[in-house]
Amino acid sequence: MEIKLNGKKVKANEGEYILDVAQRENIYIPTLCDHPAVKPTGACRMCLVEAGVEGRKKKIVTSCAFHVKQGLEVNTDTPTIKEARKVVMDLLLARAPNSESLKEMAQKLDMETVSTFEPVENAGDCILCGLCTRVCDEVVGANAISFNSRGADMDVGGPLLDVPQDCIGCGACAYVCPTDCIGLKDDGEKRYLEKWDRELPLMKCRECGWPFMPAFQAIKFNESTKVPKDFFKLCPDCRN
Amino acid sequence: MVKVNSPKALEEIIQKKKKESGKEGTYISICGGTGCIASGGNGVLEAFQEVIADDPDVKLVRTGCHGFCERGPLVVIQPQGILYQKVKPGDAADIYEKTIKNGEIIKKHLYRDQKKQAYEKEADVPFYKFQKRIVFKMNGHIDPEKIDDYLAMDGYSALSKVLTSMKPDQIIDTVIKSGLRGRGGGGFPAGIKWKSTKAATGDKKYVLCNADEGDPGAFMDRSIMEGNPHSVIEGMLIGAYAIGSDEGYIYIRNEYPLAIKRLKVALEQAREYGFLGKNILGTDFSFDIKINRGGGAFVCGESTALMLSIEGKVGRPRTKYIHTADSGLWDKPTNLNNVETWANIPHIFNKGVDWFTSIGTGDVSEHPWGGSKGTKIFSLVGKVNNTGLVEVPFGITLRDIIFKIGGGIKNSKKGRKFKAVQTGGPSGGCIPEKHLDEPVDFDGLTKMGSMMGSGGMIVMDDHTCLVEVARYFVDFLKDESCGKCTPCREGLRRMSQILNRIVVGEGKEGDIELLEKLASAMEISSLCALGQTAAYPVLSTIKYFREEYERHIKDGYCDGKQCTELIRYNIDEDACTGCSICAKKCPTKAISGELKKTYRIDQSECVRCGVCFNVCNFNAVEILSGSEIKEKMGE
Ligand SMILES: Cc1cc2nc3c(=O)[nH]c(=O)nc-3n(C[C@H](O)[C@H](O)[C@H](O)COP(=O)(O)O)c2cc1C
Ligand code: SF4
Ligand code: SF4
Ligand code: FES
Repeated sequence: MEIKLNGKKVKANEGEYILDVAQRENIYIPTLCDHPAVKPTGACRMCLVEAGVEGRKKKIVTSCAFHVKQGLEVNTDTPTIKEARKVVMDLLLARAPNSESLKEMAQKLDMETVSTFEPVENAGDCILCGLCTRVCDEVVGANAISFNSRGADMDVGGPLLDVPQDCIGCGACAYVCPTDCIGLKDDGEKRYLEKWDRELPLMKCRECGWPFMPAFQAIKFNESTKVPKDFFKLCPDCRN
Repeated sequence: MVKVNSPKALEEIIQKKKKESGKEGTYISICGGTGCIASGGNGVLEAFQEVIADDPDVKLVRTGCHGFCERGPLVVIQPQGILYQKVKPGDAADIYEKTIKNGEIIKKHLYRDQKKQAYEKEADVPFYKFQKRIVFKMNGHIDPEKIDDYLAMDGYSALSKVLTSMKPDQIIDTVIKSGLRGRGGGGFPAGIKWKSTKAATGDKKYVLCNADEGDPGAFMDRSIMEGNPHSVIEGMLIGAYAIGSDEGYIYIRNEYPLAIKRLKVALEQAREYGFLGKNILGTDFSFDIKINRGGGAFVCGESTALMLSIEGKVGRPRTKYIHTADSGLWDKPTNLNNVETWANIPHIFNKGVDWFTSIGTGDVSEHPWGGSKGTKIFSLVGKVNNTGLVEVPFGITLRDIIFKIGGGIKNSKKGRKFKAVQTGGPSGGCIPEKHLDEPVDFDGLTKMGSMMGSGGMIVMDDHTCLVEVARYFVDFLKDESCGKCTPCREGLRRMSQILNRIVVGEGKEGDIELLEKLASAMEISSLCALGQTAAYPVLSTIKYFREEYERHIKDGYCDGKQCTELIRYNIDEDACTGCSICAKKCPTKAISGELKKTYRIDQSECVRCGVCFNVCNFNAVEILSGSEIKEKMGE
C-alpha cells in the first residue's frame, strides 16, 4: 500500500505502524517507550503525529501504535505536534534531569535541556516508560517487576516495591531503559540491580572461571529455550 | 416457577400478574433506596407491615429510590399519590388510621417549599413536577426484588416484541433513529456502536454494562439498579440479540452492595422464568449475564480499562486505534453501554421512535448526532434547596433545573446568590449565570465549556471560590489518573502544584498561562479521555472567572472568601449586638467579649471554619480578603 508521509508518497506494508515506515524513510520521530522487542503501548506520548485518511480530518495519534492503512496521510512535524512534544519532554526532563539521552533528544527538539519545572522528588531519572516491565514480561517471561500505585504516585519495581523475588538478574531491563537509570553492576562474584535492590550470585564458567551469568537466569533460560542441559555451564566464549 | 417459553405465554403471565398485583386498590410505596434506608427506611417498612397485617385490602411495596433522598424516608400512598416525607416508624399507625382509612391528609408529613407552602400530591411537588420520569418511572411503584412487579408493568414485553417481529438490523436501525446517545459520558450514539459490533467479524461477541459510576456525588446508575434492575437486563437482552451476543457482563462498583444484591436477585428470577439462558421465549436466542465487581479505581470506568479489569488485569487504558467493537474483552468484538443507556432501550421499543424523538432537542432524522433525545438523570447537589436525582428532558434550561426543581439557592435570605454550576463530573466545567437560560443537552453543555458526563450537577453560590473548585477536581484526577501516560500523570502533577500555590496566595505571574499551556498539551496528547478532559475544570474556570485567578495571584484576594490562607473573619463592631452566640459556637474559643457589648476574634486562635459567620443573626461577622484585611484590621 501507499501512504503519504509529510506530503511524500511512500510504500508501506500491512501490519506496520506509522513509526516503522517513518524510520525506514529516515524521518525522525522521537520515541521513548517504544522498542522492537515488545508490543507498543503508547505511554510516553513523544511520538505524536497527525494522521488521517485522505479527505478526512486528521487526528493526533501515537505513531508507535497506529497501524498504517491505504490512503493514510501523516504529518510528523506540524506546529501543534512540535509544541505538544516540547511540553511532554519538559515534563519528562523534570523526572530524569541526569539522563544524557533525554538531553540529546531535547536538543533535537530545539529546546532547553533543563526542565522549566523543579525536579520530581525521588523519581531517580525514571520516566515510567514501562519498557523494563514489558521486556521482563514479554521477552524474558519473568514478570518480576511492574508498575505500582497510580496517578502522580506511580512507580515501578517489584511487587509492592519490594525486592523482586522473581527477578533472574538477566539485565534486560537495564539494557532497554532509555534513561539508563536501573544501574546494573557486576563485581566478579555478584550482580546487583540497583533500582530493584536485587543481588544475585554469578555463576562461573566451568572451563575458564569467568563469572558470566546469574544462576537463576540459567535455570529460567534452560526452561524456556530447550537448549541442552549443560548449555549454560559454559560461557559464550568457551561454548564456541 | 414455570418457564415462559413463548411470547404468548409472556402475554398471559403479564395479564395474570397485573391482576395479582393489587395495584388497582390502595398500596403504600415505601422507598427502599440506599438514601432512605440510611435515614431509617427499614424501620418504617417494618412498622407499616405490622400496622396493615390484618388488612387484606392494603398492599405494601418496598420500592427503589424515588430521588428525593434528602427528604427520606419517603412514603407515597397510592393510587392517590400522596407524598409523606421524613416519616418515622412511630407515624405508621397514625397514617394508616387517618389517611388510608379515612382519607384525611396529615399536614405535618407533607413537603413544604421555601415559602412554607405544603403539597399533598407527589406529582405537584416542584421537585417532581418539572421532571419527566421515563427511566425512573417505575421506581416508585415496583419492588425491585420481585420480577412479578416488573411483569405487571409490561416488563419484558419489549424483548418479546423484538424477538418475534424484528430482525437484528431493524432493531439497530430503530436505536439509531431514536437518537439515543450514551449516558455514561461520551454521548456516542448507541445504535452506531451496536452496528459496528454487529458488523465485526467473530463468532463470540460480548455485551457489557458499565456500572462503575465513579464520579464523586453521582448515584443515578445505582438508583436504577436498585430500583429497577430488570429494565437494565431487558435492555441488554435486546442489545445482545441485535448484536449477536450470547454473553454479557455487568461491571459494577464494589461499593454498591445493595445494587449488587438486587441485580443478583433479578438475574436469578429472570433465569427462572427463562428470560436469560437458552432459547429465550422459545426462540434460538440464548444469552446470560454475569456480574463483575469493580477494581475500585475511577479509571476502571474507562472502556478499555474496564475490559482489562474484567479479564483480571490491572485497569489501565490502552490505545483505542483498534476499536473495542472489533477487539475488546478477551480480544473479541465487544459493545459497552452505560446503565442508564441500557435502561432506556425497553422504553424505545415499547413506545416507539416517534415518541422518543418527540422528547429532547435537535433533529436526529438524518443522523443521531443531530440532537439529544429522551431524558437524562442528573444528580443535583450543592447549594440548592432541593437536592437529589432528577430526570429531565433534554432541552430544559439550567435555570429550570436549579430554580424550579432545585427550589433555588440555599440561604438566599442571608444573601447567598447563584455563582456557577459544575456539570459533567470531575472533568466537567463550571458554567456561569449568563448561560442559565440555555438548553441542557450534549452539545449545548460542550459549547458552554463543560460537558454532560454522567450527569453530575453541583450548584455553587457566591461563597464558592472557583480556583479552589478547580484545585479540588485536579487533585482528585491527579490521584485517579492511571499514571501510564506522561501528559496526564505529569501534567496533573504540575497543575496541582500550581493551583495549590495559587489558593494559598503564592501564585506567580505567568501561572495562568502555564496552566493553559499544560491544559492544551494534555488535551491533545493524553492517551485516554481522563487525561484529555482533565483540564476542563481549569480551562472553564479560567475562561469565565479569569479575574478571580488574577486577584488571587496579584492581590491575595479570594472572591469566594473560601481560601483560608487569604481570608480573615472579623466582627463589625457597629453591627455586633453582643449576643455572644458566636463566642459560644467557636470551636477554638477564639472569640471573646462582653455580653451586650461587642465581641472580637483573636486571629492567632481562629482556624477560619466560618461557624461564627453562619451563626450570627445580625450579619455582624464579615469575611475580609486581600487589601480589605489591611484597611479594616490594620494587619
Ligand atoms: C476516566 C473515565 C471514567 C469513566 N467512568 C465511567 C463510569 O463510571 N460509568 C460509565 O458508564 N462510563 C464511564 N466512562 C465512559 C466509558 O468509557 C464509556 O464511554 C461508556 O461506558 C460507554 O457507554 P455509553 O455509550 O452508553 O455511555 C468513563 C470514561 C473515562 C475516560
Ligand atoms: S526504569 Fe527505565 S525502562 Fe523502566 S520505566 Fe523507568 S525509565 Fe522506563
Ligand atoms: S490519560 Fe491518564 S488515565 Fe488515561 S492512560 Fe493516560 S495516564 Fe492513564
Ligand atoms: S514511543 Fe510512542 S508513545 Fe512512547
